[in-house]
Parts: sequence; structure tokens; C-alpha cells
Amino acid sequence: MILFEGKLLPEEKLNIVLEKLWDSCLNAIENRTDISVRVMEACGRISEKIKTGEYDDIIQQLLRSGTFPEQQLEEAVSRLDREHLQLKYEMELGTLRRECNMTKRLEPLGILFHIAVGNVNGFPFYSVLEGMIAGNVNILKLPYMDNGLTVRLFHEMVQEEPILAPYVCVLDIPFTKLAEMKPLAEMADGIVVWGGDETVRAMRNMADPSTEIMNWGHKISFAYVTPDMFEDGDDAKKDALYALAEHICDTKQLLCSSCQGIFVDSEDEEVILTAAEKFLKILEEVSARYPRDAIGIRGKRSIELYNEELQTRFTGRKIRKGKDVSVIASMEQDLTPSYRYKNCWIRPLARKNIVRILKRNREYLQTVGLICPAQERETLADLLVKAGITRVAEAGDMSYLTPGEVHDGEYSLRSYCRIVEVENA
Amino acid sequence: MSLFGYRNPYDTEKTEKNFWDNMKKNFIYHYVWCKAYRLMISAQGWDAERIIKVSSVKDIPFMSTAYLKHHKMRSVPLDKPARKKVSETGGQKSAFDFEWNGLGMSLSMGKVHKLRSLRPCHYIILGYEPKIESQKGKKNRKKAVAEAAYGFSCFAPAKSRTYALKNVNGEYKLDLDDIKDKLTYFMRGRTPVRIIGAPFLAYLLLDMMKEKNVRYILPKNSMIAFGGGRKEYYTPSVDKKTLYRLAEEVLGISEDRCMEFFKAVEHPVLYCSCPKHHFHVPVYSRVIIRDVDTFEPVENGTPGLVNLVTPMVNSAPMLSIMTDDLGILHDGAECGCGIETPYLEILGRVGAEDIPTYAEEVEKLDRNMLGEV
Repeated sequence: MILFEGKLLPEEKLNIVLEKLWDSCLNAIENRTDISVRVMEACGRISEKIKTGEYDDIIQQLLRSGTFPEQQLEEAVSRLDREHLQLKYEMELGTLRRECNMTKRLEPLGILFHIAVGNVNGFPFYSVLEGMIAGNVNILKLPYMDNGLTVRLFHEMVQEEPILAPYVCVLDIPFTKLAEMKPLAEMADGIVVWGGDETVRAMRNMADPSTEIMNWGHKISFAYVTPDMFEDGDDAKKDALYALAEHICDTKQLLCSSCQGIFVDSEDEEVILTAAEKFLKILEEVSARYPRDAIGIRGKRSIELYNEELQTRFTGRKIRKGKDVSVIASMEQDLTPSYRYKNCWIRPLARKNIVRILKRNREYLQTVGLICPAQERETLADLLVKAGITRVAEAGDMSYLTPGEVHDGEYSLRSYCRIVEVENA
Repeated sequence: MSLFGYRNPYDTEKTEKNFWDNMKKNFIYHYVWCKAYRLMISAQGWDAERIIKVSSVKDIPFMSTAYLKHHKMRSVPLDKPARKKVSETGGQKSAFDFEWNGLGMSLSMGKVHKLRSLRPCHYIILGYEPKIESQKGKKNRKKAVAEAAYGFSCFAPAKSRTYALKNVNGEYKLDLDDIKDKLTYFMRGRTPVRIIGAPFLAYLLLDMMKEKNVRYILPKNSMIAFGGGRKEYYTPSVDKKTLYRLAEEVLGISEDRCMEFFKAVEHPVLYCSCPKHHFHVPVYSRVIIRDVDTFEPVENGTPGLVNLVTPMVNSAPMLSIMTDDLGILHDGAECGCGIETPYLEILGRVGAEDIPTYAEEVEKLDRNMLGEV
């Protein structure tokens, strides 16, 4: 399904839409007004409607398929609240708006082209929404196997506020027609990519060298735990590890902010192995409370772990398997993605090495779930931030989004704007 | 008689003992001549004694495609260097056997599936033009895919061969317009046309022609064979039914003249689809579907991981390969085409929640094609 100038069109009309798109975007820019408030208001009303069950046909389907766990859905919906968006707007653009005088003002970049990779539902919508709040004209290329949610939400939004119609165009471009994207990439003032290095590279090839490419791409998040937290003892320690396990099961380690593994503040192999045994039990116990993974996921896990086992004599990794979960302990210090779906790694990273080791992977750093005694929290958080981490959270809150959250160290609304100077005569 | 010399490639019952003897011989061969393999399975508790006692293909340890990709494995008798060609040594056993086996297999499969013909035809190959230099020490997937498609174009004499991916100064360029022009020319003649290659490219071609309102009726006996390597064949984004419909609409090739085949680098057995578009397992291989958690073999009709087994290859220990595909093995009788061996249905790749990402697809397209399509 395509959404163009507020109208829903079948996919066959893609060519016609592409022909008209450039003109339509230019028209929208020429007649641009400040739409931020209207976007936020329309969005707020949609959020209310989702809560009162008006979209249950799609929402229930998402929940059933398990691709969008209930907790994540609630969070996603709450991010569309009027208050949430207002706060975000104030925090990211408000100060700049106030600081700007007559000659300086904040203006949208112009045309934003969003490339969404379907790793998490709801992101394509949110990405365009941000672009709209910042005042841009947005073209969105849907991810494959899109469930129709994005088009429907924008259609609703345009129904609520018809004035927004020229600011959003949602395209479903089959991969056999990827070349059609080249003119879109060329006309855009900025390209927003939610994808990995390959996608960014492909877009760079397509776009003008001067086009700004904003990549919210692959990040690797992890937990940092002091060894004493694995010792038996008070409930607080246990709770933190359980919260981490829940976070891993909730997000299936699919989000940028999902914990891929655990770095332990130690250099002792014994400590790492004990921690692995301990965490495996917790993860297995927590996982049992969740619905079982789909057969394809279980197959993937079995093959990956089998491969790991075949290679242990080269890698020296110790594989600990539980039902539907695994923990791989090793003395490596690299920051790598895990196998996801409740398979995490445990590796050593003594605090004295935090900065020098993590700096090697600075482009991938994002969230750290910090589990340590209260009195050490500040010191450790400080070291992690110095290494390049952009968010230090409680283990269970790694993927919890606060209003006005920072995205990979940046305010996204600000990235979608520029400051212009217009001198008065 | 050699397993690969049987006339009927689906007479599994009669060849059961022969298959097992070959398997065991192959197992021992690799254990003896491939150090990496020996070390790998020793770590799993295999020794000479256990190998001699093994009594079922299901018990032979399997290797995953991912592992093969990252580890060089070669089974070579110490006194015979691996890289020398057959003709030079006159007795490089492994390569020789492989090619001989392959020939026998192709002859039988071609006969049963009515691919063999003495009548020359024009080949349109939707794949890489051969003459691909293998990078040193690296298995070249493009090369293997090219070979699979090329091999398929040997069932009938070739009057011409046209490739969709042309080798221009070492780079590959997709040239569908040239193919279209050739088809326009072939349509007027009487020589049958055989279109062979990746379904993904076939879709690009047919879709492009449809958009240009091209409607051809190719000469009688023309056909399309979709296929290539295992991965090429199972590109999930292209639906088979859509392809058949397009073939009929654009080229006038009916569904019964469309068939599929695949042959993988790591499992070079040729699989051809029956008239009902099912891949029956030929005598040269066995397919074991394994439980996704325990790897225990499951009964026919139950989905699981696809494990492909064949004694065909001597050069590397590829006797039992665990793919990253999910599949179901159906009883042969369920098909109704007359072939009685079970047939394999591929459900997709593991990690199914992750329907192929955009990035993967872009990557698949290849950087040099991106600007050309």
C-alpha cells in the first residue's frame, strides 16, 4: 500500500507516484508552514485511539505473532502521547527556538528520505513522525513484510489533520525495483537510515555526495557487572540480574539498546565461568515464563551453538546451554553482537581497561546496563561515558525510553533541522 | 554397479545397500585423509572403532554449512597434491571420481526429467558468465553457481548461449535488455529456447518485459528451468506461482514447461523437480530432517532442520551437511507424480522471524548491479 498526498493507493501505482513525487515535494516545501503542533496533536489523538482499542484488529495480530511483545507495544504507544512529544520538542528544539533572534532561525532540512529496516515494528512510523515534527517533507521506504500498520497510522493522521497530507509519502518498493530509489535518494536533503553498514554503503552510492546521511544503525549494548553481584546474598543483587534476564527475554536482544552480553569487572577466568553458570540459571528460569520461540529461531540457535561447539578448540569459548537459552563464556574482550534470542556472552573487562578496550568499538557503543554496588556507580558510569557510551541505565531499563530521550548521543529532531540566518534590511 | 551409474535415479530401494557401502567408504576416506575433519569429529568422540561400527546414515556426524564456510577442509592423500588437474596427473582420484559421478548423475537425471534432447536449442542463462577466476584459497560462490547453470545447459546441444550477467573487464553487469532482444529474435525462429537461472533474475526479466507490454510465444518445446545454488533457488521474495504466471503471460511457456533444479557447492547432488514441482530425493543422496532442539531425526511430515547426505565428494568431507534451512520431507506417495522417493519441501531459512532485511537484499543485488538494474 502506498500513501501519497493523503490518499491510499495500491502498489501498482508506484510508477505514477514516483513521477509526481518530486513536484509534490517541491510544492509542499514552497507552501511550508509550521506544522509541529498539528503533528503532535494528531499523533496524540491517534495514541488515544490505540489505547481505546480502535486499532485492535492490527494490534492483536502483532501481539499474536509475538513480534511485538505487550510491554514494548505499551511503550511504543506511550511515545506517541501528546505530552511525551511536547516534552521532546521542548527539550530538543525549544531552547534553540528561544535562543534564535530575528536573523537566526531554526528551519527543517527540507526533504527527508527514510529507509526503514524491519527489525522492530513501529520504528518506521516514529522515524517519519520525528521528521514531521521538525517540519520536513518525508518520504518513507517501508521495510519488507510490513504489516500495514505504518501506512494506516499515517493515513489516520492525515484524516485528523488534512493539512499534513503533503508532508508524508509512504512507499512500498519491492526489492526488484530498488533502482527506483536512486532518484529519491538524489532529491532528498537528508537520508535517514535505520540499518547496518551495508545499507548505509548502498545509500551512499545512490545519493549525492553532499546529501547528509543520518544513520541510526547497528549499535551494540551490553551489561557491565561487578563480580560481587554474582555472589549469593541480598535480594537487591538478585533482582538486578533477574531484571537483566527479563530485559533480554522481552527484547529478544533485537533492539539497539538490547543487552548482547555481559562484561564482568574482572580478569579472572574462574570468576567469568562462575558468573556464566549463575546467569544461565537465572536466564533459563526467566525464559521459561515466556512463550517458546518459533521453530525457526530454535533451529537457528541449535545450529549456531553446534558450530560454536565444533570450534571450541580454536576459540577456547565455554558454551553453557539451557532450555532455549545459552551463555558463552570466554576471555575475549571484544564487543560483538550475540546470537540474539536469549543467547548472550560473558567476557572480562576490568574497570582499568574500560576506556582503552571500548574505544576500539566506539561506533557501536550505545547503552550499558550497569549492575554494581551503589557507592561504585558514579565512578563506573563515568568511565563508561568516557569510553563513548551514550546511555547508562539500570539493567532492566536498558530499552526503556524516557521522554526526551537522546538517540545515540544526539537529539534526532535537531539533526533534522538546520539554523539559517536571514538578515533584515 | 556404481551408485552414480544407475539408470533410474529414483530406485532408492534397490540401491540402499550400495548407497550405504559408498557412504561408509566415504566416511572412512575422509577420516583418514582429512586432518581437520578427523580432529573435528574426534572432539565429538569418534574414533576408528566407532566408525567401523556405525550402521546408519543418521548416525554419521554432520557438519554445518557455516562451519564449512569458515574452515578450509580438504581430503587429500598425502602423496597427491590437491591442486593438480585430472589430465596432468592422470590419476587425481578425488576430482576424477567426482566428475565421473557427476556425469552419471546428470545423464540419469536428464533422462528421467526429459531434459536430454538431440535437438539444438538457444540457451538464455540468467546467471554469471563463466570464466570466473577463483580467488586463491577461497571457494567462489559465483563460480559454483555459474557452473551449475552451465551444467544444465549441456542436456541439449547449444546453438547459442546468452548470459544475463556479463563479465566486462572482470566486473559483472546485468544486461536484461540484451536478453529481451535475443528473445525477440529467437521468437521468430523454430529453435527451442531454454531459459535457465536464478528465479530472482527471471522475475526481473519477466517483470520488465511485462511492463513494456511484451507478449511472445516462444517456439515449441521451449522451457524454463529455475535454479542454481541452494540459496539462489530459495530466494524467498519470489513466489513460484507468480513466476509461472509471468512465464505463461510473457513468453507463452506453460507451467508444465517450467521446472526447478538446484545443486549446492557443499552438496553437489542435482535435484530436479517432478511435474508437480516437487524435489524428490534421488538415489545419490538422503535427506534427514532433524528436530530443531535435539537434532534427532523426525518422521516424514514433521518440520525440522534439513540435513543433506551424499557419498559423492571425495575432495572434502562434505558427506553430511547441516544446512540452515527448515524443511519437511513428505512421503513420495503424497505427490502422485509416480516417483516414489520422499520429496523435500523447503520452508525457509532458520531465524525465520527475521524475514530478509533490506541490507541483505541490497547486498545480494551486488554493488555493481545496483546502478544497472
